[in-house]
Amino acid sequence: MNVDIIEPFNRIHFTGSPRVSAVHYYHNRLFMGFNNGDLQVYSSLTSQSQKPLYPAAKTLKTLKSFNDIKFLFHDNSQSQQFELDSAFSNLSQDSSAIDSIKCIPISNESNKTILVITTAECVRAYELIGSHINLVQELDDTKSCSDCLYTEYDEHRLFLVGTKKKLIAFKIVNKTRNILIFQKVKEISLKDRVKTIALIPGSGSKILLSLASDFVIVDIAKDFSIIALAIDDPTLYNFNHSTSFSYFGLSSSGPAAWTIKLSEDKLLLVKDTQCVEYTISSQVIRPSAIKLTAVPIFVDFIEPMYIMVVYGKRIEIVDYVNGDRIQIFNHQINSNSIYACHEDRTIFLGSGSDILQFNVLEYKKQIEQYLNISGKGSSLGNIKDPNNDLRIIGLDKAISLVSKLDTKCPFFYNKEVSNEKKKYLELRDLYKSKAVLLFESYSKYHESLVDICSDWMIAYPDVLELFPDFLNGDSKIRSVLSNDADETKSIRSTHNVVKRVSKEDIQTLRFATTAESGTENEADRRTMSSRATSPQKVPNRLQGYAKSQNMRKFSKAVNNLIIYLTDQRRIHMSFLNGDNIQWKGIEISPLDIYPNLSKEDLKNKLHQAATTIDTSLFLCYFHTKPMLLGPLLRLPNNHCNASVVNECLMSNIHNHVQQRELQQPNFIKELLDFYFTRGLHKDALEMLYRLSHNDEEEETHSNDDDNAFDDFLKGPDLTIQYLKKMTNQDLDLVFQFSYWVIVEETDFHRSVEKIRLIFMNDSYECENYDNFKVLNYFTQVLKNDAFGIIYLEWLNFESDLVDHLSRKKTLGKFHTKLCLLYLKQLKEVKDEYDLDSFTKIEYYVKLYNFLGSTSLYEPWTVLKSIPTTEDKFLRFTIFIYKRLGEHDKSIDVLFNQLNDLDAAMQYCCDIYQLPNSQNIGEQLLHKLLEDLLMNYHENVESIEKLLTLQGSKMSILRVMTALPNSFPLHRLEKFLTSHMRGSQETLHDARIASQLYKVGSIKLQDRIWKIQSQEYPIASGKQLCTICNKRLGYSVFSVGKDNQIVHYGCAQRALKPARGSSP
Amino acid sequence: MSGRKKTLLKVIILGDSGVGKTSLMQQFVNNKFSHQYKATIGADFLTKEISIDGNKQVTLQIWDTAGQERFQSLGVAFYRGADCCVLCYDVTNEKSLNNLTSWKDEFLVQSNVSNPQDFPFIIIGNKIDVDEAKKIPSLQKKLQNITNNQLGGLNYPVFETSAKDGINVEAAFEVIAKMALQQEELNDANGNDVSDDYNDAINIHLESESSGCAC
Repeated sequence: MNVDIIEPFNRIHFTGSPRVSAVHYYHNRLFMGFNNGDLQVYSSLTSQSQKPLYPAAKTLKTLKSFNDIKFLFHDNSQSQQFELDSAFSNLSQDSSAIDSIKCIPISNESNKTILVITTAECVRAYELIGSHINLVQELDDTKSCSDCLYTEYDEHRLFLVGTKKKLIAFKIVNKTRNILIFQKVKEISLKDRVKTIALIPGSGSKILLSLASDFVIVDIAKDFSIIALAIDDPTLYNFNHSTSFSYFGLSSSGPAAWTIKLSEDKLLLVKDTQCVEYTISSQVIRPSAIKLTAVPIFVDFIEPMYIMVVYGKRIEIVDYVNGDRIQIFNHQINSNSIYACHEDRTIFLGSGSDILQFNVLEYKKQIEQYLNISGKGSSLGNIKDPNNDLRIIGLDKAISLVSKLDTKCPFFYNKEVSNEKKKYLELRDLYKSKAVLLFESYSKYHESLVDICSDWMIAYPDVLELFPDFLNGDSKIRSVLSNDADETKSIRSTHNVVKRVSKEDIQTLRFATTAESGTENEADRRTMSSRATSPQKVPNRLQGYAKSQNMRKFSKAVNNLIIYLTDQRRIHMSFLNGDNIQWKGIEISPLDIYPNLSKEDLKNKLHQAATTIDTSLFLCYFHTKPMLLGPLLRLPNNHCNASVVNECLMSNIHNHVQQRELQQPNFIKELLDFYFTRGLHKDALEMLYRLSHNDEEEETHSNDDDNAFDDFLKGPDLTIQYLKKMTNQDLDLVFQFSYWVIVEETDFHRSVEKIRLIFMNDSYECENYDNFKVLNYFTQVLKNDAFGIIYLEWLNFESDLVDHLSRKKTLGKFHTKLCLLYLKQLKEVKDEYDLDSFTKIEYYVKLYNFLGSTSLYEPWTVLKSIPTTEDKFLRFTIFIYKRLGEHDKSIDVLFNQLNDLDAAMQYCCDIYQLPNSQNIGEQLLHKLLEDLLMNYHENVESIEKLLTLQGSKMSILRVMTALPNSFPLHRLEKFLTSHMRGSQETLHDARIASQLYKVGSIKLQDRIWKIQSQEYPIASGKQLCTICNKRLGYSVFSVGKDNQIVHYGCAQRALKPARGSSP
Repeated sequence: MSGRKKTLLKVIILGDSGVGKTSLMQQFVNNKFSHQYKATIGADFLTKEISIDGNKQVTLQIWDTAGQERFQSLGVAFYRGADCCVLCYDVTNEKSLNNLTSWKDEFLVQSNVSNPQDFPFIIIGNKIDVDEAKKIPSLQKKLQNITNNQLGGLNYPVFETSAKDGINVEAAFEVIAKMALQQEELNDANGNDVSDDYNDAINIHLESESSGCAC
């Protein structure tokens, strides 16, 4: 991989003998120190309008000398990127080389810069004002300074200098407003030479010192206390120990060391060729993935993930996470005397009489390069290993780059969304590319669909695009709506084996799997064996093998697609509910996933998306996991497209052979469940009607079971099952579609059976139907009163609704309606029967019993409907009159009109026996007697019968008065005898009662006497109290335990000890 | 004794809000009951080690879920690997009974189990300690309607429990554990793992059929 992270930009060339010995870049000014102690300051043009001259990376290999390389840079003499501001000679005062230059950011004035210049002899602080430079101070004891650091702690400005085996701390104070002084505050002796000094990020007061042999932490806050940095990892033993050369003093300058900040929690420690990572929070040191081939000249960190390593001939840009070399730039300086500095996006290399400037490329360009690389990562390794594919590696690098970029980075600036969100959306795009690549080229379906697409919420159209159209809900919906039967459009040539799978392939595979189960017959086997001996044998087998491999992959891919789609449907449900979702700590709205949607049409589009997702899920289930169709289609929130569902599930409804061979169950019930859940009742019922009435597809099967099942499909049973589940809200549909079910049934009993199933079951839905509407449907629409009667009988006597209806006070209305329907039926057949047989027909008996047992009907309504001119109906009026209290009319009907004395007498008797109706009963009996006496001569026997049977309930005086004198006395014998016996019994009973009262009186008298005898007589006030033996006097008395009269007080005192002693 | 290894069984409790899912779990695991209602957010789980038939030690990992609509944001990963699903309703709340089918279907779709027809479910009617008058009228009939419905029916073991009084809770979970263990053993036998992207080591050379040698 050679991706450009830095590019050559500008070159400054000096004439003359001095050589560059230090470079520093600060606030657009380039400071250059020379080996004769001179200092030159250049200022850069603020806008770097020049474009780099840098040619394509591939050609770089041909540039073998520094002279060739020079031409990659703009010559500063022409480009004028930098112009000399000022030059100062011999700042080291002894013409020795300037070793390093640093700027201290403590000046408030824009034209004043504090410089610290290090030479072999000492460290000097200068102030640079305009084109003048003034020595501020020469720091004491700073000979052989190896590194220095400026830091601020607790409002103190500190300058730390590492010299040989010492760390010297200077405090920078203002003597006057303009004059600074470096006061030495601390000098710490160390066990070894100081190599680098670095501030530990986040701590504020801790300094990491790299010594020749190990690392120590100096805490300024704790009076410069020193703690050794423990390196426990045995693999890092050499890292923390001096080499044998230094031990014997053979190496005076080594080892080379750098301490580089990677992040707020991580430092990279480099010692010669070894690199380790130090995690500050956990204080863990572990080996870095970076492997250096030689001791570098300069090492630094380039945001956000690179380490720049400068060697004598080249620069390497390395990914610090895994040590991958991202870029190698052969600068061909070919010297160990290279002085480098790096600030922000600019890098300078100085050597001899040249300064080379490099710029770090924009992140966008870096990403573009990553995404454009292709080919194999290395010649070794498996061709099928994605880690060996440069496209994947490039994508991973781009992902790593964007992940590590700070959200404040200008790369993410945009007007629409927050930087954080923009970062995640950028990452999402990259992950999408990776997922597609993994899917299409490496068949990594789980990683692609679940680990990436699902986790990174890749939009469903991109994912469905990877699958054949017959699994794509969107394509399927379009093809169904346009009645395009041929879905198998030409499949573009693709590496994606999953996309190439057709519906036929799935069926073939299913068939093969079924055949393997041992069902193939002998003939098939013979054909197979003859095929096996053909010359095409080997390719066929290979092809078949490859196909079965593809199918295996297909099935795995679809399984993972199901997981992806399931998650997507959950997310879209949240969106449809108006909620945004939390994803990786940020809130995601539908517009983030579908940026092309307009806010106005959002709801509609979300519905479409949900439909596509659910339909795709349905298609996946349909083709690979039919047993999950039911659960999906029954979910109340499923958005599957009804036409697609219908087309798929109805496709093989009569093809039982296919169902058996492909192990596809019949889906009619799942389809009906779907319609029901979605409330598409009319569609469902119309479909069932068509199924039942469409004769075109009539075909007979050789198998009886198949024919029976087809009959079931065409019969009304499915419609009845569906109707049974419908609520009162859809009652009109129930009426509409139960019509054909009932009307087309010619047998009355079977019709009734169906009516019972639909309208008279004990389900919650049925119990909530509007009963008046249902009744009306039977009587007015079906025009069949018999159905109405059956319904009302169920409603009034069998259903659990009686309590409910009586609470609503509508039960009476149904009772009345039932009476009226009975009467209507009876009126229709009255002429077909004589009176005797009329009373035996079913409806007569039912009405007679019903009127006798209920009192909820409206009497006047029923009475009006009874034809009172017809004897056949007259008996029904008795019940009405009885309810109305018009008993005389009842007697009239029974005796005078129907001539039924027995019934009349029974009626009177019934009334007599009713509570509080004795008088009425008696009056009725006397009225009956009077009616009989009207035709006295003919009714003598009837009168005798009346008096014999009911005489005891009548007044003897009134009877005797009413009877004419000529009435034969012997006919009164039984009446009088029974009366006599009755009177004697009454007398006898009265006597017994009298005697019993007397006994009671005596008993009561006895009790009174006993109570009276329990008195406590006091003879006089002089009687003594049995407790205190004093006179009772006129105080309050009480009765003591021995029934003696005592003082009340004495009795209470006598009680107290007894109470106190009680447990 | 190679069969003595411990088995982790994942059990998921589903049901409407307030039916007592958390209470059931708390009663079973900690023998505790609180009168205070606190809605579960997302999902939470407790584990309990039990012995099945006296010789098999299993660890039940019982996942309690939020019944409230607004907390139903559990992804497919949550349901993955479930060995048994407990469908809960409240014997005083008819709606919670009617929603059992939806919970079951939702589970099957989300979990993407390999054997939806045989996957072990169990039904628990909780709160039987309440007054008879407060219970759903004709409960048994309605329960039978739901369980016997041929398609999408819930023909599974039913337990009536009281998390408050600890009635039948142990017995129900014992059956749950047995059913879950069976499912786990079935899964082990089938070796179903959805994430086996890397089992394709063989036959990779057959992929390039277009360039394959036909000799």
